[in-house]
Amino acid sequence: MWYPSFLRKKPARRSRSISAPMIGLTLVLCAVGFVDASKSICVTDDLSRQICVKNPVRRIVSFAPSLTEIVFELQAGDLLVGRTARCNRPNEAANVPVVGAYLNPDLERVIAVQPDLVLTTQTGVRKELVQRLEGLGIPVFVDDSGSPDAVLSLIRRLGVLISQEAKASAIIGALEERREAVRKRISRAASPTVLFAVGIRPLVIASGKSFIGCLLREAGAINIAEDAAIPFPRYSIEEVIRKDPDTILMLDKECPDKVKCREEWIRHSQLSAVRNGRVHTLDADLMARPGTGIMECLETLAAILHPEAFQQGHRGQ
Amino acid sequence: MSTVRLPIHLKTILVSLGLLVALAAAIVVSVLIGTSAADVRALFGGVAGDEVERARSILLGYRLPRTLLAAVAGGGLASAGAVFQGVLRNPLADPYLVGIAAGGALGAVVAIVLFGGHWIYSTAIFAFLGSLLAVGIVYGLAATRRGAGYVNTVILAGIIVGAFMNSLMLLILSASGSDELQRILCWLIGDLSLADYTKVAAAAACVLVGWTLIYFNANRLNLLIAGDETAAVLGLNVGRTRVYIMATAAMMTGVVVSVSGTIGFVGLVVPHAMRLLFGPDNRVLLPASLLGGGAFLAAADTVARVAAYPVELPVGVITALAGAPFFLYLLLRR
Repeated sequence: MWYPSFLRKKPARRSRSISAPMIGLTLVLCAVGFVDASKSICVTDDLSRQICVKNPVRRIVSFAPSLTEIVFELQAGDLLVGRTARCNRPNEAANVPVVGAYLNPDLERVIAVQPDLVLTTQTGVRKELVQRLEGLGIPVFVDDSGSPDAVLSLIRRLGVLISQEAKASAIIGALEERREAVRKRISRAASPTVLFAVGIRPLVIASGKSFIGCLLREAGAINIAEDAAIPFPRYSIEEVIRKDPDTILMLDKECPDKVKCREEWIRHSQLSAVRNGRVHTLDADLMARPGTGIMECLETLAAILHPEAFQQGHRGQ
Repeated sequence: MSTVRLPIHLKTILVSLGLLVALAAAIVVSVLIGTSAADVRALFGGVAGDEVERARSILLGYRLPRTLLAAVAGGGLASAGAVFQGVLRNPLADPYLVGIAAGGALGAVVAIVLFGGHWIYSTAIFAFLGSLLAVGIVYGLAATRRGAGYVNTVILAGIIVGAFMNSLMLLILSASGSDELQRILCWLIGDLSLADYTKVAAAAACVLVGWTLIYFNANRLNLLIAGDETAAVLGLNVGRTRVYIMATAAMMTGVVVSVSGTIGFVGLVVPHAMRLLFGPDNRVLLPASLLGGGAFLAAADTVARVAAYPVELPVGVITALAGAPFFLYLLLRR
């Protein structure tokens, strides 16, 4: 994870003068600017840089599946002129030309489609590529969403950038509603301890510092690796045995089907989650994308972690 | 002759006993570290209960096989390293010189990208097949050179085949855009956290058989080190002995690589350290490398396991960090 801190260095100096209220003010001013139909729209990206685009944006390239999804959700999918091979949702994304592999976009192909806005996650590209694109006068919006709140803010800012604020507000409102519904359901449920394995050979887990860790907190679970120093540490199986989590979650990319995924844990029969059949598999595409799917992630997690609360609720309705 | 043989046998026995104690100590420390005295007493006292059951399962189910695998892998790599340094008469030789690391890595990456999680043992099997392929190509290339150029041909062919397979591996990695990067990286640095008794038994059997076959030829290996002509004059079939010993060492390395990834530095440094400590005679050097390498890797893996607990460090980093300064010290002390 050396790369993000690198990328942060330069903008950090500029950002010192921009406080939170200032960012809010900027957003408001931008919105006003749009109403006035002035020539450019500016928002602040997650590296605290001012990203300005010509109004209206006509050609967008996305370097991350989550961002591609958000653009389509904002009903601006027809503006996309480039995506990575990994951007597979929604189905219409298949019609957008591919400009390279995820994490490794092809600069030439990006330039060839003449974007007037490039969207990327901070981990999605090397910082040199961002610098090259900006050197060519192409604005690059860098997203570093680490929590549901950050994703909502991201949707709002992207809505401003591509002049779909009303749509963005509607999406955010709907997402907030679903979030609130989950909160209500689990408010009285007990908090189970949980292990979230993003890799099993070797064991790599999501700590409290990861996006998944954030969702687990929100879903009312106690992550046994809450305090680990990095988001996705390689973790000791001994410590897992010692902490004996109530529930074990893993990503489906680790094994061909759910049965095989459970079999991976059979040899750890010491774990009560294994004995009680509380090993669950989650869709890796869904969980790894901090985009419009976040509330679906949250609902899925909450339903797995609090089966009683969700069954009762279901019967009640 | 008999006046020479007695001391060397005695020396072999003494060195082996000493290093056996070191190995046993490393294993015991590794298994017990991180366990409280109360846990140990409860374990041996036959007390029942959930906590004791858990401590027992951690110790016997996870820590012991892992430590044993580290010892087996370390012993195998160090003995193979001693063989390659001797046969090729090159101090920079290590078990990975003949393309084994690159071949194994290529096999592992192919397995991870192709099969992903579909088949648990695919990584180990493909890694072994990859090592065999690399070694086969290198020896095939070198077979055309039976005479004086043989050693150089093996080294150059090893480097070139290694480079070629490395680029193939990187090509597959970059083209697949695989999200298994962390898994592949762990494999490349070396990882012992997935040890189980099956792996330990398979690797131990192969390493012990391979090592024994080489040890029976320790005297012939000594002759080879004296130089091809001297060895030939003394009645050794140089070509056949060399291929036989190197092929055995390569198989041994391939097996170790398939269960632990490409753990660096052990095969290079441990034989040198043993040579500096106990002299170059292979009758002493081979057992010393086997036991010393085992002790070293068991200790290094313990550090990797506990230094940042519960986060695991890559064992290959520890072997290099600990091995390099120790090796420098040995060099300067002379």
